[in-house]
Amino acid sequence: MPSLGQRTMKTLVGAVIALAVAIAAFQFAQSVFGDQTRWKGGGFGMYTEPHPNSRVAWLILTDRDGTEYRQRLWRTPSSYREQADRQPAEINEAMYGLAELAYRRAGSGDTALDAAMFATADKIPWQAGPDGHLVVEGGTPLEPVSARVEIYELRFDIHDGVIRAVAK
Amino acid sequence: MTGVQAVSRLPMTGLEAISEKSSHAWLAVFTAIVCAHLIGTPHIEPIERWTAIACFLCALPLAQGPAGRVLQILGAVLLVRMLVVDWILFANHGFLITYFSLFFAVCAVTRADFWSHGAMFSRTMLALLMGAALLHKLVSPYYMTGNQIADMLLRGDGYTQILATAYDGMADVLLATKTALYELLNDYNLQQVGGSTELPDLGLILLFVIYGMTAVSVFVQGLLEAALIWQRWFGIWLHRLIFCFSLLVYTLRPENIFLSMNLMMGYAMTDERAKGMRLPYIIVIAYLLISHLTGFRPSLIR
Repeated sequence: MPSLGQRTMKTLVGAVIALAVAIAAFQFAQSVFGDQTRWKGGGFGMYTEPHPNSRVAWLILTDRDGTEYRQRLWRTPSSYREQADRQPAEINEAMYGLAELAYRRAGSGDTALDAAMFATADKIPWQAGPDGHLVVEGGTPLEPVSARVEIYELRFDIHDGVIRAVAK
Repeated sequence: MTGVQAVSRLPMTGLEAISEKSSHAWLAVFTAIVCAHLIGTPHIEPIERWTAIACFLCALPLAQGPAGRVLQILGAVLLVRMLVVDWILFANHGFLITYFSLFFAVCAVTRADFWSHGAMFSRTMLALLMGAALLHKLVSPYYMTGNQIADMLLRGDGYTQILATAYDGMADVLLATKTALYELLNDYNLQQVGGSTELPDLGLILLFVIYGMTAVSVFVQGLLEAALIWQRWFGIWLHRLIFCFSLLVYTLRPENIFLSMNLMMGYAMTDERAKGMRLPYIIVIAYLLISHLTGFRPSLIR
């Protein structure tokens, strides 16, 4: 492989540094003015806000008479593997896909993910379960008229001595 | 025999030998970090991860030849692809690893000696990392309240054992916090009304540690940034500060790959005056990577 010389090398290394600076600046702006988590995305803002694992997401479906049913969206694949013997693999897969999209949406503030998120939710044959919970087996048929995802973040406040759930 | 071949066969001086070995060790350390990082990144498809691992591992013994260079470039391309596809989920150390893989790829393309340029690149990247982190800390409405450190300490992520020896109520605080977190995480109705759960009395020792840790971590990071800017003035203290910062982070969360990258950058910045720090760097990085892969974490510090 022929040598391209010191000048080319310096230019290319400079381009890598410029890329790193640009990404850090973009992520910084997104975290200050948008919803991007400071923990991810190349802006080096770790430890300056609660970790994304402090977030909890819920899918809420409303039926014709206005009753709401909810399902917690688990973040970890292992939570769905535990349910593998209770519900079909494709439903587990769809639930995990939905959770991933929901947390990604919360982490980035990217509204373009909304359509994919609700399309994934639509693939799951939801039923109305007890105590306002959504189930996929053993419930009553449900015809939702609207759907939304709510994300909450747990924040410590040592001044007040409390842990508080903050809506995102 | 040509003149060039004759020169290359001359015995190396001591300085050249050290430089040569350091250069190989640096590449080996980077390869080990990339492999450990990719092994523990389950959200990336296994085929992609293992192809990239194979590229970096095979490039290591072939680094000086054309095949090694091609593999280094291919490895960097695969890392860039992983990052572009899922940049939102990529932790900051994933970005750092990708930037360094691009650096090695650039050296491979231009046939430049990566060791002689590594110090400058590492210094710039570490200064960017520390500077950006400091900026985030200064503007974050959450961080300077101490709540971030409280979040980690009260979940049992840091200093649990040490605090338990100094503060009798530590076990109660941890238990109450975990119960409160569990309730809040699972109770939708509580979340919907912005519910809160009161913590037990934290005690002066715990409050002192929380505020002290916040102040110390900002101070050390600021000092480290200054040491990177005025490296010549700080001399060996730059490396001591890197170790100090790494120890601070190590006590809080399992961030072994991120810390290994910090230390790898420190290693690349060791000049003749600081070459005594090279072995400690290698030992600590090896410890961090082995403990990352085995899940080992001493309970005394955690």
